[in-house]
Amino acid sequence: MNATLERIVTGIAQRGLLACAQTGGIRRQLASKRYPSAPPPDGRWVRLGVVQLKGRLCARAADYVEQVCQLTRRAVEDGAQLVIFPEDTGSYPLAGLIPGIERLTSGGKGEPPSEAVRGGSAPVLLLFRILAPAASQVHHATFSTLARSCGAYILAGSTLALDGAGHVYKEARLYGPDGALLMTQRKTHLFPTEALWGMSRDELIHVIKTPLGTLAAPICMDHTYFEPIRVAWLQGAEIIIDPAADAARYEFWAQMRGVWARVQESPAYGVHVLMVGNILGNEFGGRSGVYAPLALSPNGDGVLAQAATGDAEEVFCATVDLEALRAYRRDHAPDFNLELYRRYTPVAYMQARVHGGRVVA
Amino acid sequence: MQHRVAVVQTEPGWQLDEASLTQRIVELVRPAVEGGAELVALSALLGWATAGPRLGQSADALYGLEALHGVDLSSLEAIRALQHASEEAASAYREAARILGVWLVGGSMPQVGEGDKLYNAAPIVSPEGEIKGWQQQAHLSLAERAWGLCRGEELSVIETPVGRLGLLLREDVLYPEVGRFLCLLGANVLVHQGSWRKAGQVLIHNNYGENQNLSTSQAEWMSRLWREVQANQVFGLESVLAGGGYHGRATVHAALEMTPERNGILAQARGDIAEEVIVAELDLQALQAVINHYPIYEMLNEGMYRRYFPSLYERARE
Repeated sequence: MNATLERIVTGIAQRGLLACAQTGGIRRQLASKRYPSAPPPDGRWVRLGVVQLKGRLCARAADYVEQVCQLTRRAVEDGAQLVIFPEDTGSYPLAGLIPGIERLTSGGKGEPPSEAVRGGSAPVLLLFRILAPAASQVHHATFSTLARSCGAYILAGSTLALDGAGHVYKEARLYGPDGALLMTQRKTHLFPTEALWGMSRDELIHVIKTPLGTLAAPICMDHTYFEPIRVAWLQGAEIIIDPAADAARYEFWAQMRGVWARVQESPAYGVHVLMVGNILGNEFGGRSGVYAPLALSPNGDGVLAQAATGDAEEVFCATVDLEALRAYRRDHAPDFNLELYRRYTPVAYMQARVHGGRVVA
Repeated sequence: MQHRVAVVQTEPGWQLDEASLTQRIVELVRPAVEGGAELVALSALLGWATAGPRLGQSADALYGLEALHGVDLSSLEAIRALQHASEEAASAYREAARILGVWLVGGSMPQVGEGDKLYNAAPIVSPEGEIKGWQQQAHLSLAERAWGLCRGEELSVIETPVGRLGLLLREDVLYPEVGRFLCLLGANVLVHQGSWRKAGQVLIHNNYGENQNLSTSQAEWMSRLWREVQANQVFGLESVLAGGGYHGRATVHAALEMTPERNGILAQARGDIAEEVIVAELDLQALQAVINHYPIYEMLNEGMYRRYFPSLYERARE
């Protein structure tokens, strides 16, 4: 398909999906329910509600809205002031809105969708472009309404964002208790498969000061790298959220390479919230957790709370103490070696790239 | 091609002179070398052993940089004493490497630089007894700064037959910048010399089930070199002081995918308070395969780093 034809077809498909994703229906659906109220912030203690979402394809927006609404209410009923959803909350499940999605992802070669998606033969980027406006609309209407209805902050995981040039990003979104969109964060480090699909990455790390502390939410693979987390931390982040979706079974050691490790380097509270379940044959797994620097955890292990399983839908809460973190950071202020950093940034990164593919053997 | 390495977990102790330090190293390491080790990583602060007596420490005094407490480093006498201790330690390492015919990563030692500045630094010594390079500690604790130590501002990657070595001394391992820069400069083996006063509970590490909680000491070593090795896809040699108020576990780390239990550990000391020497094989081809399969460095975002570094550190300091 040539580029012009692809743009035309994409536009038609986008409009078709948008017609199925009317926000009025979502708001009416949510208005018919009763909601618990999140406790107001007290400046010290923050109750985090972690939603380990079971992802499944939703052919109707109403099914999706029902699922995330129930989970949000469970978290707020348990006292959550900030409810946190995983990466792809606003994309993979909503791919079910695309008629015949399973056939479309088979890559046209009769491959199972999971293999076609992982191997890059499925037209993932095109499907994301088609899905993005509708997914973004459903996601926004749902979580904005839920945040306002519960008076809670909601980190609504990520959805898909398109820019004017057709680049596709994963974008995390934070909603305030009045339903306003307070912050977005686009993924800055792609998983190799996402790069293979042709997704784009951003260069900005955002933090936002709220009555629940200063928040940041780099996405999934970003937490493999110390750099984006250091950037968030240097800008004052106190609660660093890792909305993630790993297409792999839960492994303790692999998971500890992420935000748990990052908050040991850049002392903050860390929330790892994962998607579980099976979407298009891809098995997602992981055990969500709330982490802290070792010295701020009761058992000295950096773990404040964890999901009971690595493969089932769960909602759990943990309370973090911002004053304890602030005192710890005052007492253990790092002694950065600026002369050293000036010598090697960014030149060491550039030199490594100039040398081409990494050779260690 | 595989290379056998040994990592030392040493009990600290002041030594009277170069000869006794040499003898101690040779006795400790000889079995590992006879077993085929090509490179041996010695423990942190081992090269300060001859400095204690010269700074007036008794043989049974607490071992460590605390010996600098109260020492007037502006006095020529103190600096000369440390200079002498430094020369003795370097000689001991050169002699031990020659006797054993092995590459040695010397335990850190005093190094007196330009303007009589005092550093904690470690040398890498060839089997011929030649010092091939140095690394100065680049990040200091509050106490180390108060005792008058200076920090290094340059990093070295040192070529050996076993691999390209980058050294992280003490606090440096807590700053991910150091490991990253070293690996970007080409290091494929990170060597960390740890000396930790705080004790953790002894861990049981033969049953990592899905619901296994971390034990304290396990969390401690995972938060240090293990974390760096996973983030940079290299090997990690972690030598420690153990006993005499220090706790730690010598460990040879690798990427999770290279270890039988997928835990990132190729070898580890049995306990955290007694002397041990552990050995492991480093397989660089296997490491290359891991990197080719999951190329973390290919996903680095230089545009982001240029935007924020180093200016954000400067703004944070202000």
